[in-house]
Amino acid sequence: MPEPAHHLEQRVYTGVTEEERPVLVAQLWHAGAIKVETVKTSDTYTVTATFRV
Amino acid sequence: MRSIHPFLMSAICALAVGGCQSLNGAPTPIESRKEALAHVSAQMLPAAIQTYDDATAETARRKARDRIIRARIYAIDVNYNDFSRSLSTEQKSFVVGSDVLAAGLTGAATLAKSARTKTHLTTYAGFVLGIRGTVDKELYFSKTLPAIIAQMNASRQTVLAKITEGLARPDSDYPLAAGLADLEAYYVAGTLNGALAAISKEAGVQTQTAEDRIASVTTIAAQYDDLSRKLSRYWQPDGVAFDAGHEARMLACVGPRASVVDLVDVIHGTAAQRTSLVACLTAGGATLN
Repeated sequence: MPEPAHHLEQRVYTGVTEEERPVLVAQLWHAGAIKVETVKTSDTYTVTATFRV
Repeated sequence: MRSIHPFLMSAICALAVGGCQSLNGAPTPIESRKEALAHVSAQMLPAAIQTYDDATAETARRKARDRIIRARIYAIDVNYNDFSRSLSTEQKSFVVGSDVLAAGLTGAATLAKSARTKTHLTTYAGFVLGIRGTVDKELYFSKTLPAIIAQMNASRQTVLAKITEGLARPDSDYPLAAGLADLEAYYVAGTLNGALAAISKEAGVQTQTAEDRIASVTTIAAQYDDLSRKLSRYWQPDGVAFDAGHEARMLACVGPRASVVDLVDVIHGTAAQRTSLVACLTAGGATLN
């Protein structure tokens, strides 16, 4: 009997500032993200959080 | 009496082969498990976590985090190596030992003169082989044990890569709590149940593919203003821990079925949503600084 399929949901936050980044990342982990990635784009960051739904 | 001698001989042979060093399949470790664990015992104490909690500077927090996580990785590795080594040795010892014992009993039955002794010895041999088959199948998973150990090693490497990647990030991105959660997964990956679950999971290729599918991607243009700061401080009064009571009030204001992710979106999303949230909280008696 195969397990029911789980889907992933991604939320991408663009234009995240240096000040906002640690706050957002901590809140995303607290929200239950299974993965949080941060990529620097010019002077801001793009934070991608993956959730299991 | 003479018919008992072969029985004793076979039992001694079985025990001797079962305890044979070459069955270990690995050289003796340079230090015992207890000695190895003593090297990192300081990082297992609550004081180590307290040091991390007390640190405010990013460098100090990261250093404390790395020490705790690396020490625990080492401790899990020491225990895992001890476990996998003993697992393999026990199986080999049991299988070889019980085979030798059964062969000895069968040989003794052939040599025995008394018909009653022959019957007894043959029955004992059958009993030993029966027990061997059941234990080997149920406890040692028969010949699949090497595959299970290989799965445990592979799963552990996957989780370890995730932890290593996390340790390369700042503490704000990969806090100790996230590291400890990954360490739990690292431990579970090295258990028989974890390996069997992983094997079962891989067997259902279609299910696995479905699991990896990203159902939706939502893009939010982040805005972080003064209200965002106030709401974040209200949610995390000390800047680290989340206040459960405040969180419940905020979620109630965001909407009847709002999730924590929705709350994150309001704090980092559009200004209008934040204004509405702050108004609701203030009306409920909350003070936002």
